[in-house]
Amino acid sequence: MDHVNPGQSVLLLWGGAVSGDMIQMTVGNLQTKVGQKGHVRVEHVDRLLLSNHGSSTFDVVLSGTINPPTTVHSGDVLAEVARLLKPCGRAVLCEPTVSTDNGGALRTAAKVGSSLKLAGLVSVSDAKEVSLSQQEQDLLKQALSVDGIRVVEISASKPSYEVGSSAQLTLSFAKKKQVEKPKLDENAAKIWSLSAVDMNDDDIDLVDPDELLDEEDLKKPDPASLKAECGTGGDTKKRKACKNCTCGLAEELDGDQTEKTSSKPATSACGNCYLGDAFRCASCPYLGMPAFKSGEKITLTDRQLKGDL
Amino acid sequence: MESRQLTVLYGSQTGTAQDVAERVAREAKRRHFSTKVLSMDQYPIASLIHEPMVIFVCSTTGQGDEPDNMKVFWKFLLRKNLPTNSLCQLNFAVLGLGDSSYQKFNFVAKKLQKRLQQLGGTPLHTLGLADDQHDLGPDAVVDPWLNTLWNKVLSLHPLPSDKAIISEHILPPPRYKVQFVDGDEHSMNGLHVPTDSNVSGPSQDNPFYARLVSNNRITADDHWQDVRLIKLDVSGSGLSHAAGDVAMIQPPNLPDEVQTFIQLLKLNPEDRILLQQNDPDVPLPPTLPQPCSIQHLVEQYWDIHAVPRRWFFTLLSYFADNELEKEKFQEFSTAEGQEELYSYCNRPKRTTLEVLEDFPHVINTIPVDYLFDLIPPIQPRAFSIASSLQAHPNEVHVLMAVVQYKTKLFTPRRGLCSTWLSSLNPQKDDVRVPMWIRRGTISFPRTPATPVIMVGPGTGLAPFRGFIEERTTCGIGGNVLFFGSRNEDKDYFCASEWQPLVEKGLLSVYTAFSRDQEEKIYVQHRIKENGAEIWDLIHNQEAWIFVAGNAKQMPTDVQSALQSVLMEHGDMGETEADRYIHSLEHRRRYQVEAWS
Repeated sequence: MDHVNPGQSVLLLWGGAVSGDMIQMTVGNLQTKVGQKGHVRVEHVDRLLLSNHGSSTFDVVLSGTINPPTTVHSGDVLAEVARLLKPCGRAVLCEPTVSTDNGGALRTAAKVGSSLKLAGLVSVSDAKEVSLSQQEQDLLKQALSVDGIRVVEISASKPSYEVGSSAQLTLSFAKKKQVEKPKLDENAAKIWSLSAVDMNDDDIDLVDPDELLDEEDLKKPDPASLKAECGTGGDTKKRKACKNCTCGLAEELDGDQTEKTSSKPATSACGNCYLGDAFRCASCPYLGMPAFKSGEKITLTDRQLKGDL
Repeated sequence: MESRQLTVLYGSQTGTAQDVAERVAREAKRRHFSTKVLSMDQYPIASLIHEPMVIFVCSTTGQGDEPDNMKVFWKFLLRKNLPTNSLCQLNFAVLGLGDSSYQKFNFVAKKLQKRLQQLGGTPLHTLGLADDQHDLGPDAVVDPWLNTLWNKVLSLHPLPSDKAIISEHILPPPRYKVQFVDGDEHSMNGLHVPTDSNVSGPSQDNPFYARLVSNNRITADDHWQDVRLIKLDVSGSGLSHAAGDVAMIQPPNLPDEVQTFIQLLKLNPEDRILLQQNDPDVPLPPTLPQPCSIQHLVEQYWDIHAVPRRWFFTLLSYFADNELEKEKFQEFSTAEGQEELYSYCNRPKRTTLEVLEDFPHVINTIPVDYLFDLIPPIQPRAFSIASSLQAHPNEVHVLMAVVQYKTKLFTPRRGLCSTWLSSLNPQKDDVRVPMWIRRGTISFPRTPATPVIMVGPGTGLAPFRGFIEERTTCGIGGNVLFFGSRNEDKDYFCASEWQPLVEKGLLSVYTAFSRDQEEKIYVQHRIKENGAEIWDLIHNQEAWIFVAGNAKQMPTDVQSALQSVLMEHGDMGETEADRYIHSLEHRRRYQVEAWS
């Protein structure tokens, strides 16, 4: 409870043998702690991965803090917790541990600590033993069928820089030549096929696409980077003279003055007009007309002769 | 045996992203990858979790929105219930096409990249952000991005020792093998018999041939724009639709262009050909009869009216034997030549047929089998359905403006579908229109108590006419329509239909006729004028707001007007009003359907 401050966004994860009343009470206490400006979300730890909350949305994630905790936090769950935390956010986990690794479901406190580090969290605290009542102890023993359980509380923080997406772990595979891909999750496949049947359902809950973007994404490219190296484009775009220009446009473009800018020839001056727009110069009276056979009589209407001046 | 499989998925609004996607696919094939290319919406999304490698190419359009042919795919990817390890098998890369003069530069590609990573996909390469604003256009980014991509792909999937990258100067094989057949062999002409007919109803592969009931002009005869109210009879089709749905219409080519094309290429329209697959990843066109006559291909299949793309010119460069033409085609294939290509082709909207008319030598050297590579199939056109089955059972109405405009080309530009439809005379012939229905992206509220505000200037009225009919036929009121056009007596569509509804108190109509007075009055002005009522509807009566239409600025202007209404009558600051609208959007209470 002392990890939570007013105005914060808190995620409470629970699992296993915890009673509904206890959850209610804990949530109530948390809500009082965070006050009007904060809020509390509750999730069953096994459903966490399916819920797909937005990245970096919680200041604090509490898991297993309601006694007695039975959850062993998997790598996936811890990675998800890391993703959900805001930079500098804190995760507080309580997990049942054993004193020596015996290959069973439970692990040592040290292992819990290192798995937090593997998930990308930092400032991992020392494991603090959580004292349980006799009743809680019994419940735990009953649920897990193991002797000598010690519940520890460990906390860790998300680094202050945003490490990027949740794909951080998988990027390290890209360096290997032959990528060994993890096996496709049966469950995931099922969800995809079932969802695909219902493509047009309007009432499905969607992630807010605007939340996918961060500060970096909102930036526009540097205008200097948009320039071509050799100066193509710009002035030379609009007007182009034919290869063997005889109508004077080539000279005009090269800076020479010409006196005959006002009169437009009604017959082909450069000899290229019949080739079609792809070959015509910018002053061609036939612009906009299809190609024709050299020497073929094409009458231009008054409109065309006037041009677009 | 390692799988060399790659899929290219695109989201393309004007065809540019599709073009780039097809280029990626060709480069993949030259590196001996078995490659499929499709739009994201064509792709069966449940299969994505099994894909080893996918390259996504997507443009950002309109107000930072995703193109139409990836809307369904994208909506699926956003589902909260998809597990974060779903795409653990997938290596992917995203190439975005955008324009940095827009605030939401390449937002679609950026969001896609993030979401794919959230779902456990592994990026092969950094996000590519191509920019129209670069001097050399999108290629300035696409070319080096692809180079690096292939290096990375090949380091993960090296070429087999006996294979090398096929040069890009070699003409690739045609997508289909074409065989001319003799006279009476395989006489199976006419309509294609679909393999699983009527299993899932009419579709693009199996359209319904609806009888044209009427296509009456609803603008004044002396008005510059010709707008039709088209009525189709869909009885016996099994088709049904709800307000907001879209009619897809598959037009044939225009008769004069068909004639010109056949003569230009010196084809014999009676010749029949048999198509065979030449690439296992490129299926045969599902709607073509086999064998198929040249007449049918030119009339119904090859889109000779479309503006050709870069690859068209590159292909022609392989066939050209005239020096001048060959050089020009090669020029149009380079990054530096794109600007001139744009100026020659795209800006004036020069059709494939017109381009072929401009290059009289190469048309004699084009092999018939490459016609399928040069010319894509005619695309269907989408129209918001403008009627309700409640008011007009067995009918589908479409509000359609005949597209006609001038560019620097002498011959005016014509819209293929609208020119065809408007030319049909149902009184004279039994005319059939191939069509099917697609779910719309607009969702109307299902509760009768919810009032609805509809802003639909011009043909934007279409989906709202359908919705108003649906509601008022059942006596449901609370319908508020803002309609705008140029002149009350020239293009106030369906005016007479509103009258009785207004009298019964089921509909309120606010009109804005921009040219009926000295100053321009648009729908956004009417919105501000009636701010108090709008505020009450939105805030106290939970009204939903819809904006639809064909205009570049209109949706932005309407949103600004709404924002000022919220600020004035809801006593909000600018940011607060903005957030309010955003939250309405999030709850689907504010929807914009703007088409270009």
